[in-house]
Amino acid sequence: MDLVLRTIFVFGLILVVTRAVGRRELGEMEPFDVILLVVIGDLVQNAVTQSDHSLTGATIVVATLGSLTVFTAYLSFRFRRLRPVLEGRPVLLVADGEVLEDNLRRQRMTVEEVAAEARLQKIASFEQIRFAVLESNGAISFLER
Amino acid sequence: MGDLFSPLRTGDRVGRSGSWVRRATIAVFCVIAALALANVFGQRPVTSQAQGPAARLSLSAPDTLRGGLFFQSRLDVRALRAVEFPRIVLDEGWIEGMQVNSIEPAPESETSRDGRVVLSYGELAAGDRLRVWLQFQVNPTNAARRSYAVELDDEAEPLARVERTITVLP
Repeated sequence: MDLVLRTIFVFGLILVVTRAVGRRELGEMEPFDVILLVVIGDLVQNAVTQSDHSLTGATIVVATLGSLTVFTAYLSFRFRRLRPVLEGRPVLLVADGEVLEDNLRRQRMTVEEVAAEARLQKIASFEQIRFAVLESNGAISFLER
Repeated sequence: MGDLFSPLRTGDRVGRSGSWVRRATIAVFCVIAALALANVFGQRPVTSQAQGPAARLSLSAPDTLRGGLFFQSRLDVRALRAVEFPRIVLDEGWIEGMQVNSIEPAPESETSRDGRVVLSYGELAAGDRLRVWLQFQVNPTNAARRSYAVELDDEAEPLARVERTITVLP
């Protein structure tokens, strides 16, 4: 029983952490972030399974995580109000060539980062951009004028 | 559809069987989690009792475990009359494939009786209570169902016996 409860707690904790850290950091992982992610995974595994080395324990944890993943996806699909909490909202970064600096600041992003992403999309200047949107998965999508 | 690198089936029924298989799998996941919450896979302690004219014996221990888990068994002996040589006799399931971390209070002596472990304690007067905590860890390769019975003897005379089994899941 405690294995399921620990898994539910850790799932909720990871959900809160990923929402608090911000999508940009998760979408653009530096080597440090990758290592941190592995360390977090190891710590979480110890907290969930503790001394349990059994196949039964592993099956319970995987089944619980699978159920929770589907459950949160269903909540997000079924209840529109929960979507921003569970998945986040897209954020407008550039509108009609004008950089929205307040929105950038809230996402801890710089103009240079948006410019770099634009160049990767073969866009040479902000004037060419109609909309730039930070999507909930951390990627930036550009719509040209 | 020939322009998507591989031929794809089209029509209303495409993907229906796959979606039902997925739903069934998720349902199985939910059932496993629910059974685990209901303690089917261990390790919530269960209390069993036995009483004779001379003493009452109570055992609180999980009846299902998984490999690697730490767990506790607690024995309570209540003497209803004086017991001169209290002996706690443990069946093989207590020790087989288990790491014994501690037994508190430690017995005065440990011996073997017909393959069972006998823990000897000091005399109990009528009304005395002896509580023994036993801490274990399950050996991960110890997947089996064994007798976890415990008996209280006055030297060799049986006073009370709790019949239990312990199941260690792989």
